[in-house]
Amino acid sequence: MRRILIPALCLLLVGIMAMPILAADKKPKVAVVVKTLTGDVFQLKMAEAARDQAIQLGADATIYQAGGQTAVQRMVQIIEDLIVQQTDVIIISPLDSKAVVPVFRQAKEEGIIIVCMDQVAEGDDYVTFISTDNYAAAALGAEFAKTVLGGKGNVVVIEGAPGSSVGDDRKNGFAENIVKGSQIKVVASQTGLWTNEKAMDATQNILQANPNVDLIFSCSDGMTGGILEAVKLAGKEGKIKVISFDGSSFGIELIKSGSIIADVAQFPIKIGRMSAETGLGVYNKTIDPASLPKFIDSGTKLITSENADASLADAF
Amino acid sequence: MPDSPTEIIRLVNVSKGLYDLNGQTLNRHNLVLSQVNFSLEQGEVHVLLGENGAGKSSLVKMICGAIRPDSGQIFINGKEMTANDPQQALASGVATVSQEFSLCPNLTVAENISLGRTKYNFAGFLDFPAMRALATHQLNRLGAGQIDVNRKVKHLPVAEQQLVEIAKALAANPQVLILDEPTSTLTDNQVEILFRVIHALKDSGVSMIYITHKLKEIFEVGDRVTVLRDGRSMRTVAVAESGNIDDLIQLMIGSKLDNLFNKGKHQVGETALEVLDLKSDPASPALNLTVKQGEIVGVAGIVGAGRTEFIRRIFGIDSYHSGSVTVFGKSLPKGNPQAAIQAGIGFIPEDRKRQGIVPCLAVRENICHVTMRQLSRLGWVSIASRSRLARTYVERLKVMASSLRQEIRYLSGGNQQKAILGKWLSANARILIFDEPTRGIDVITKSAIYRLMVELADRGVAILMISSELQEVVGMSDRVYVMRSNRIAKILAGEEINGETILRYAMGGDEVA
Amino acid sequence: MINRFTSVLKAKEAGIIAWILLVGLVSSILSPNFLTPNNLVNILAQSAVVGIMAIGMTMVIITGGGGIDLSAGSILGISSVVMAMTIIPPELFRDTAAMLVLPNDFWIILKALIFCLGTGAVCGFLNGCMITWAKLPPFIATLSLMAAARGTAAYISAGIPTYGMPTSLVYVGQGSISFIPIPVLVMLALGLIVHLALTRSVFGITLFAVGGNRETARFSGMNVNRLLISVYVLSGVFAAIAGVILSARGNQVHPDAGTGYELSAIGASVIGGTSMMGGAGGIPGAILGAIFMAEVQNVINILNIPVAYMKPVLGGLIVMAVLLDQWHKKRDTGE
Repeated sequence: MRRILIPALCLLLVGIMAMPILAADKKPKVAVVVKTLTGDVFQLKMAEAARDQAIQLGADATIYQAGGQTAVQRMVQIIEDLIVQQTDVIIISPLDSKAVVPVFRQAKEEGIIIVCMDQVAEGDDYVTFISTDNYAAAALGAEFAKTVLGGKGNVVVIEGAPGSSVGDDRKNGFAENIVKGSQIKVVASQTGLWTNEKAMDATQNILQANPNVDLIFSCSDGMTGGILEAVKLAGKEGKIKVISFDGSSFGIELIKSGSIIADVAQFPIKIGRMSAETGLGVYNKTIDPASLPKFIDSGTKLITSENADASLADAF
Repeated sequence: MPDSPTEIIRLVNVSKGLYDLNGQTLNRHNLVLSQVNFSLEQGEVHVLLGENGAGKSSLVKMICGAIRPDSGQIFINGKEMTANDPQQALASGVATVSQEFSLCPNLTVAENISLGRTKYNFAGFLDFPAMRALATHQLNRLGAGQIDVNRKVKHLPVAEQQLVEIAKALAANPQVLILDEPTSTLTDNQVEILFRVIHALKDSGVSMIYITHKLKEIFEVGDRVTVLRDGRSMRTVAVAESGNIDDLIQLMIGSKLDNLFNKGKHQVGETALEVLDLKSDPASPALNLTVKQGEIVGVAGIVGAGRTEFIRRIFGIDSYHSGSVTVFGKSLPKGNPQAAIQAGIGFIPEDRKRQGIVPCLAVRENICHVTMRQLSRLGWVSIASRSRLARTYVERLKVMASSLRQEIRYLSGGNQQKAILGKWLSANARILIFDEPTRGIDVITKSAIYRLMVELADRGVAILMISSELQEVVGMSDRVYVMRSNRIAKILAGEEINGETILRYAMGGDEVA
Repeated sequence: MINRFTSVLKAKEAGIIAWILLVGLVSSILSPNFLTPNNLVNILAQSAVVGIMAIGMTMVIITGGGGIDLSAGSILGISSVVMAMTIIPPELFRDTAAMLVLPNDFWIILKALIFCLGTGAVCGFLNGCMITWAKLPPFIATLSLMAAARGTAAYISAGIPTYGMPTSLVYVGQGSISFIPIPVLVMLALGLIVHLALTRSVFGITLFAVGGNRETARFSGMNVNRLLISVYVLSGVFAAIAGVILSARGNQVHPDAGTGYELSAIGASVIGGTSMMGGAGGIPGAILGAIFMAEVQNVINILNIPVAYMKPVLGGLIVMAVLLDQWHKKRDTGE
């Protein structure tokens, strides 16, 4: 018995020791899938960080983009192709939380590790979801607004595109918390469709109907430029305070120039890096997927004029 | 009751007024068919002969049940037909090979041939092998086994489409087969095979109505001939007894009053238009033509003789392979209507709605379309100058329109034609090409247009006129080019210009004699 | 007086004018903030970008034969990116952070505008070539350019938006002469020129003839291909002008700018009475159509109508406007 056991154990040991060498022969293939890189700095930085981190960890990594804010079908196709190519890890920001479920199931059955970043999918075929807690982050902005306004006043929310969970979380996080324990009223909440031009038009129109707006909450730095132009055109520059969301270097510059009072920061580069580390960790068996929480908060921070300079360093 | 045992179809005193495309009667006084009698016996090939508009197609449509007579009776196998329903005609065993193909271009040959006789297999699905077998069998009968039954019809050359059309009719195993100019697109070899099939069908008891403009064919396949003229059945004779071909032609033309025309002696000037050795492609015959100032030159021929194609090449709408078109000594580039217009040619096309007018625009704009450049200053044309120009020609040509701004589509065909003429006159066209100048135009406007043509010729305009109306060609032309099968069969002048001669050359009577 | 009144009622723009007034009436009852001079000026200003694009689009649709320019929104995007890249020094271009402060250098701005309109013209020329020489259906040709132009815009700008334009350019987008915003003046001036060209120039007459019946136009010696190419070039140039206005108004350039604007422009044309069959339509209607769409958007924002209802309301109004217009036309022709 022992004569069999010892050589067997030896063999096993050698095998375990040889595994990294064998694995090194075959670099893990990592795919970073995002909706679009065009005009979306957040997605761009997040995707690049994920890719660069994966390469640093010794993997082959490529970015795939669906090519639009609504190109759901294209994204599903990309995942199907990745399954065929026997990709090892997919790090993805799903465009639509439902549409990707079937391909996620298929990928999981093929042993592919899926990490969701920024946006979540339904089901539990992904190992974890790493993102800003958008609701909590927006609530952070609401608390700051409450103190600035002294507990009373009229606020406006410029929302993201309808149907986006991220946009809804931010809107609700702000609108629900700002009215708690204060006499602040949300006088209008309209979509800016994530674009500057639409946000500008909407703000202009809202200001026509509500001359006494004290503060505007923008659900994304990508719309804040348009909102500020509308405020300027209405002659309310300085009278209407603006809080933005994202914490991009553009937003921080706006704080420094006094155009906006605060920006709720999220950390796309951190999200990207964490996603790559987690995905490859599960692949290399250094992380036990069973022990992973289903949601990992990548953290948020409220940036104001006080910490703007310090925040610029790790902003995207 | 007409009840001869061998008589398949009998028409008794049928009449039909003018009808529109839906078969609705428009005018009961202007008859398309008038008191026509016609009979078809079992196993005979009965040829229908007549000029364009003599009523051949209407007669055939009536037998198929596509249109209903206003009066008279139709008997098929002694049974009176009542409904105007093609399906009923088919049930009685009538199949048609029409000039306008009834094929669906996006279906395969096999599907087309078995259309209406679709076969299903035990599971209720289309039985494609059976359909293919049927199609192959029918095509083999026509000696056209080389046609791939799996190809879509739209990919076949026209001659093969014609054969498929015939095969489709044969597949119905008809008791009566109507062939409307079946040979117009076929090669000699294919025609020969078709005639063999016709003889075989005849032997097996199928009766056929055969419409043709080629006199030669009457003698090759016909048993009896009925001549139609102006909607009347003139005479039915056995081919064997018909003897002189000129008698048939005489019957077709009759003696017509030509008081519509007041052809004068025109002062003929220098050569305005000269076409030399024009070939549409290397193999096609070379065409030559000249028109002098003040001359009205007619181009006659049966439908499909290549007249419109020839004229379109002269005007530059279509290009050609070789040859030259010269206007007042200046050679025109190929396929460039702008150059032709600049050289002074005006074209009044055959299909008024599609090529002559812009229906949704005002009379004023339609008249100004050629002249606007001359009216313009730095590309701008004032509305006033356009109105002035348009008013001049509306008044001169007596175009009946409620205002210059009325959309031209609401005008009658004759007034549209006058407006188109106005367009070219305003551009000072020195050569006018008329393609079927009076098609679909009432008789009063017709004579007005004829008068205008003569007046223009008197003022030195060279006129080239294509017409399928013999009366018109004879009444108007100083010289006539008779075309047949894409070549010029004969040039007639002076006393030679008469209906009989034109028809003889147009229909190939010279080949028979 | 009565005559003049009935002639207004019979004008082909009567339908869209009625709609603008109807929506205005209902809105001014529902909100006291609608019928204020400021808000009305505001609506006009917001209609300018789509209105300018609709001028070009109307000409394209009038050419008939399925004429349509789906690439207009993408042309807007790529021309404004080209403009930004000409104005902004390369070392600043990729700087996503700063709100740029740029000098008002006349020659640089002029060069940028020429490059911008030139880009629009080149894109339009490509459309025209695909449609005339390669004989592609306009839908396919412009759809492919729509993707190509947007992709190129993203590529040359590395997908990064830029903020800040020279103040003189911003004035073109945000300033007013008397009380009328400059974008509105630009839209009205271009509209007037094109309206006159359509009714009083060789180009206009040719356009309607080609749109009404291409065969007849050819038989009348018109150069159909040259006309089609020039119409698509014009559409591209108008999209580029719309891009200048959009960038100047928003004080920024975004490679995704103008996405979906082609559909708004088509909508404005059609609401304004331009026939998708070609041969009929006009510039006043197209501009009124753009104003109508801006009005509806304004009302939604002013009344704070939840976003979920916005698109159905907009779609429903467009359908109703077009149906009313068709009914109006049918009654006129007595069909």
